Amino acid sequence: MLVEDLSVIIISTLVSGSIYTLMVIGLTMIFETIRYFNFAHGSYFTFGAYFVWYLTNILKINYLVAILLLIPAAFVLGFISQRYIIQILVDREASHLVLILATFCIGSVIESVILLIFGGRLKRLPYPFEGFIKFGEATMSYHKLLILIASTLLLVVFTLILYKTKRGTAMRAIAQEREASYLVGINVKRMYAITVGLSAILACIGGWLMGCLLFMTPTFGGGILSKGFIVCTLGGRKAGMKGSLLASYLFAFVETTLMRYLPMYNVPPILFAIVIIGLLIKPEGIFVRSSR
Amino acid sequence: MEENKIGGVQVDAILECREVSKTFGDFLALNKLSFTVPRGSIFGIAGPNGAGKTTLFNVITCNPFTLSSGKVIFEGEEIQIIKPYEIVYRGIARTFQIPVIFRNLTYLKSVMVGSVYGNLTNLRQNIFGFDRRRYERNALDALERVNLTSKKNDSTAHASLYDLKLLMMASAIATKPKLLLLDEPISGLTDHEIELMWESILKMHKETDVTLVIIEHIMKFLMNVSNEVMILNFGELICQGKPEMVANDQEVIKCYLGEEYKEVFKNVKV
Amino acid sequence: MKTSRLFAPLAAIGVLMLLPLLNPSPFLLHLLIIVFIQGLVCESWDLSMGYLGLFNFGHLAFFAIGAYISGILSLYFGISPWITMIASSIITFILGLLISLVTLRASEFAFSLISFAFQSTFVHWVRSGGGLAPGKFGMGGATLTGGTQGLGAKTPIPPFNIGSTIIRAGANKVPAYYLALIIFIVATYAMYKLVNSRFGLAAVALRDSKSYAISRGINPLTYTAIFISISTFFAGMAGSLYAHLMGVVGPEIIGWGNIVIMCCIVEFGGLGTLFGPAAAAFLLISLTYYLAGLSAYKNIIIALIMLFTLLIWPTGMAGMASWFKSYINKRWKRTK
Repeated sequence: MLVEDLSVIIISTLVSGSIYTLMVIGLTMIFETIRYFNFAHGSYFTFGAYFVWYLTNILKINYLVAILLLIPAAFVLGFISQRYIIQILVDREASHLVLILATFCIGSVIESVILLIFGGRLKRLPYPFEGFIKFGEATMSYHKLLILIASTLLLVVFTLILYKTKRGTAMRAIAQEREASYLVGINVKRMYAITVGLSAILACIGGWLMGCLLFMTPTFGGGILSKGFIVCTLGGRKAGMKGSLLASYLFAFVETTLMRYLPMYNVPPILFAIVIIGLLIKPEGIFVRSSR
Repeated sequence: MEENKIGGVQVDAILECREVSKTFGDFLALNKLSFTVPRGSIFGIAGPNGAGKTTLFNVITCNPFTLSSGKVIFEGEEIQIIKPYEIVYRGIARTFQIPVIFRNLTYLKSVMVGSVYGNLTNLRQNIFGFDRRRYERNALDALERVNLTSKKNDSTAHASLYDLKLLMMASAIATKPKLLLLDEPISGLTDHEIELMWESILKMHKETDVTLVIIEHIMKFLMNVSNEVMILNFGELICQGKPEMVANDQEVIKCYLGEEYKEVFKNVKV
Repeated sequence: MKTSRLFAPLAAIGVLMLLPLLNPSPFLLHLLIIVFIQGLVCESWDLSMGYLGLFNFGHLAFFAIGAYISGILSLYFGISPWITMIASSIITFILGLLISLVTLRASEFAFSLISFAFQSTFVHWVRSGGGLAPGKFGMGGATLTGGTQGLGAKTPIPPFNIGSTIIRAGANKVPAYYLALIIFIVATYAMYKLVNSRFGLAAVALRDSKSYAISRGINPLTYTAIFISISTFFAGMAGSLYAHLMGVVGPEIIGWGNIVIMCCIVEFGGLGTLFGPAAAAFLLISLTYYLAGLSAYKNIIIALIMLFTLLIWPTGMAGMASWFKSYINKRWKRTK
C-alpha cells in the first residue's frame, strides 16, 4: 500500500517538477540577463497549448509537424515581445515596476486574444504517445515519461547554451555590465530578444505537454506561473540553474505529498503557508550558500 | 586612537580604517587599506578610475555592501557591520557620484529627506510627523548653506546637474553630520559652477565643525584645499600625506601617468 | 499653491454630493457606487505601486479578503456590518504587514512574485469553497466562501443600517450612494495626508533611489511594510463596503479581468498621483460598463490602453493634466 503510494508520489513529483523546471528555467534565464521577471511567461505557456490544439484540430496538421512548428512560433512570440515592446522601456531605463507591468499587459493581451478566438470551454490535447510503461509495481504513461525526458533534455541544452557557448556567456555578461557590452560589440538588443525567445520556447513546450495532462483554459498558464514564481523565490535569486532545479523538485514533492493526503482545496493555502515559513527561515532562498 | 597634527595642533582621528579589504568573488577591490582621518580636517582621496574609491565609501557606510575583512572605527566605535540606515544616526552622511532625481518633489522636500530621517532623536520625538516645522527648519538651514533658498518650492524634475548636486549635499548637511563623505562633488560641472561649489564646501567646513572626506579627480582643487591626501590604485594605498608631498611621490606619478613619465615629472611643483 | 491643486477634487466632491438631488437614474447611482468602491481600491493600490514602486499583485486579493471576511462574519456570526468593516480593515492590514515583512527580507522581487502567488492561491481557495466541506456552517449546505456562486448567493450578506434605514445598493440606492461617497472622501483624504507626510516622503525616496534613502536613515523594511499595510488596510475596507452594499461576493471580483481593469486604472490615471487613479476610475469603469457587451474585446482594449500608456505616455492622465496646465500657463504668460 505504502509502496504504491510512494510510487505514485514519486512519479507525480517527477512530472510536476519537470514542468516547474521548464517554467523556472525560462524565468531565471530572463532574470539573469535582463533583470526582470516576465509576467507574460504564463501566457506563453497557454499559447503553446492552444497553438498545437489549433494546428491539429482546426488546420488538421499532423501532430508531429505541429510540434515542430511550435518551436519557431514560440521563439518569434518571445522575440517580438521583447524586441519591439519591452525593449522600448529598457532603453528608457524604466523601473522594474514598469517592466513587470508591461509584461503583465502582454500576457493579458495574449490570454484575452486566446479567449476571444477559442472561447473559455475546457479543451484537451491528445497524448502524442499512448501507452504505459511499468516499473515493477508502478505504471507510468509514456506521456509522463516524455515530460521527464523532454524537460531534462531541454534543461541540459539550455544550461549548456547559457554557460558554455559564446552567445550564452555574452548574455550573462550583458547582465553584469550593459554599457560595456555595447562597447565590446555585443548586439545587446538582439541578445535580449533571443533570450526571451528561447525562454518562450521552453514555456510553450511546457504548455503543450501540460495541455495533454490537464484541461486547457485560456488562463491555465497563470496558475502554473504562480507556482513557478514560488519556486523561483524559494530557490533564491542567486541560486542559478542548479538551485532552481532542486527547488522545483522539492516543491513538487511537497505539493504532491500534500495532495495525496489532504483534500484538494486545502492544499493551496497550506503550500502558501509553507512557502512563507520557508522564507522566514531562509530569505535568500533555500539553495543559496549564505555568503556575505 | 592615533594622533595627528593639523596646523600644529594635536587632534584625534574621527575615522580609522584598519586593514579594510573587499572582494567580489575573485576580484579584490580593496586590499588591506589602513588610514586615519583627523577630526575637523579636509581629507582628499584620489586615484585612477576603478581604484576602489567609491567602493571604500560604500564599505564605510555599509551601503550597499559591507567589507569582507578589517575594521572601520568611527569615533572610537566599530561600525563595519551595522545596519546601513543606522550609519547616518552615528553622524556619517555621504553624497553619491550620480545625483538622485526625485520625480515629483520640491527642492525643499528633497532636502527634507535628510532632515526628517537623519536624526534619530528628532525622529523619535516626532514619530507621526505632525511637527513639520522642526523638519522644515533644518531643511531650510541646509538650503541656505547651498544658496538655494530662493528655489525651495521648485520642482526637482527640471533641475540642473549643479542644483541636483547641491541638493544632495544639502540633504546630507541637513542630517547634521560629524563626518561628510563627498563622492566627486564637482564632476560634470562647468568651470563657474565648480568655483561656486567649492566655495560652498569650504564655507560649510569653516562654519560647522564637520570633517570632510572628498573623492575627486580634479587635482588642482583637491590639492589646494585638502589638509591631507590619500592616493589609491587597484584598491591599495599608494601614498598618504600632505598634498605637496603626495604630488611629488614617484609611485603616484607612475600610477597616473605610467612608468615612462616618472623621470619627466620629477619635482613638479603643484 | 496647494489650494489651487485641490480645486478640481473639491469641485468634483461638490458635484457628487449634490448629484442625487437631480434625480439621476438608479443605473448612474449604482455605477457611481461601484466607482467609489473600486476607486478606493485603485487609490490604495497607487500607494504601493505608484508611491512605493512595488508591484503588489495581490492587492485585489486583500480587497476580496475584506469582502469575504465581512460577509462571513455578518452572515454566519451575525456581527454588525459596521464592526465587520473595522475588523476586515484591521485583518487585511495585519496580513499585508505579514506578507510584506516576510517577503521583503528576501527581496523586492520576492514580494512581487509571492503576491502573485498569493492572489492565485486565494482565488483557488475561494473557488473551491474555502477549505471546509459543504454544510459545515449549517447554512443549508453552503460552503464557507460560497464557491463559484459566491458568498451570499442563497442568503444575502446583511446590509448596513442606521436605525431603520437600510443602506444597500438595492431598490433605494441613495443612502448607499452617500455612504460610499463619504467613505471614499474620508479615505482619500487620509491617503492624501499620508502621502504628504514623512511616510510618503520615505516611500518616494525608497522608490527613486533605495541606497540614497538608506544613506539618509530610512529603514527600507519598516517603511515599505508600513506603507504596504496601509494600502491593504484601505483595500480591505473597500472590500467590506462592497460586500455589505452589494450583498453578494463572488470570486469574479478578483478574476483576471477585474485585476487588469484595476491595474489599468492606476496606470492610466498616473502612478504616484493618487487623484489620477481616482479620476481614471470614473472614466474607465464607465468605459467598461459601456463595453460590457463585448467582454473578450473589453479585456484586450483595457490591456492595450495600459500598454500604450506605459509606452507612450507614462505619466498617465495626471501627467496629461499637468502638461495641459503648464501649457495654458505659458500661453497665458505670452498674452500678458
